[in-house]
Amino acid sequence: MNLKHALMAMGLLGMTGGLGQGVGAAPITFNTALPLSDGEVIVREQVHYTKASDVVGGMDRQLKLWKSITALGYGVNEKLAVFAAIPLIDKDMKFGGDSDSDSGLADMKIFARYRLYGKDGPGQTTRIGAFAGLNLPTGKFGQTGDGSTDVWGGLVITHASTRWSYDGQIKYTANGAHNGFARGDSRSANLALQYRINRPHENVQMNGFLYTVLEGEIVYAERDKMAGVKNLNSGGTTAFIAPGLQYATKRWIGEAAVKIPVVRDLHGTALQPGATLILSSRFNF
Amino acid sequence: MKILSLLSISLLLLASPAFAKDVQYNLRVDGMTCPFCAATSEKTLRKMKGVRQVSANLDTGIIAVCADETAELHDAKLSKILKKRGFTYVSKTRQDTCTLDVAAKSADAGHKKPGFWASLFHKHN
Repeated sequence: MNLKHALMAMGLLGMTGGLGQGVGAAPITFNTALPLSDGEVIVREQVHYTKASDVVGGMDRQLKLWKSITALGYGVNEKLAVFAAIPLIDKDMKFGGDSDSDSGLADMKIFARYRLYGKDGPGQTTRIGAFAGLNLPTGKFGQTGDGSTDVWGGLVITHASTRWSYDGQIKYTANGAHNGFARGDSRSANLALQYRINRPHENVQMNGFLYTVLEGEIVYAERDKMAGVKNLNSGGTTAFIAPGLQYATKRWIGEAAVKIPVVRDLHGTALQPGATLILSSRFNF
Repeated sequence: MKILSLLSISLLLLASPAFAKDVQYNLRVDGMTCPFCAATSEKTLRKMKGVRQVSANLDTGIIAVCADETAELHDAKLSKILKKRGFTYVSKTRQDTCTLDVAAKSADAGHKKPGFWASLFHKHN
């Protein structure tokens, strides 16, 4: 079994559920809004499949990327939570007649979130938190990682009711340098809406909740630099929408989304982003 | 003497907490929005001494707790443990009979669990 099959198996294994106590609705495309209370542990397993292709100067270019992300979270107290996201990747690239592939551990993320504001009402809650994290150079330089330690932070807001939920995030990433290469800093904004579509007044003891999900993301990245010189074929603006479904029970959650690029404005001949299929599951302990 | 001993033991047994009556507390808790919230709050309350049965209703924001009447469900304690779980305890009422058992039995007898697919096609109220 190669890494690609292992990644698929991990995602499907996660979808079967039954290990933990329960999970709440949260965005599929970002992890900073994951709900955690004091002493609680959360495990989220995601499998992403991305395919991107274009033609530059008469040459076909293609990227196929499998990614498994295991996100672990722990509630230190009612306000502070710490997280780690461990990505494994398997990518195949083709450029004309040439091809290349890499697989293995990519750059891990660690981050913490602190709740700045929280207000509960009958069947609803609003929370605002600040988060900060690091991308660690755990991937192979030039293959599954860029070798640098990156710093990022931002704000996340959640408003949830028994029918509707929304989450928003703004984030700034300051990328570090390694061996003279520095990826451009980036700014991003995310929004996620969840709308419960099954039996809005049914007792939760009988069935889980099914949500339709619509998420969006916009990212602006500055140009990369090599030995202080800007790479003209890097950086730019991309935006995605991601429709999906989420089924939340008292014990587990299963979710799926398709991330579709709607703005593909990367500079020069940079490979424009493709669509990504995301399968995900979550458990709390 | 033998009779007196037996009588004493009987009286002691009658007075012991094992024979305490079950009552029901209905807790109003804010911030519960999802199945996870119900599971977390139920799990936390179930760990309290004397609590026998717990059931959260997300639509009403009420958690019904059946416990023996000696259970110490003080406001300060409930507020503290539910706050740790991310919820806001508001108030409680007490009723002398526990209706959770009855509700569970009638649900089992009269309402077959609708199932996942059936639940998807139910009309919204």
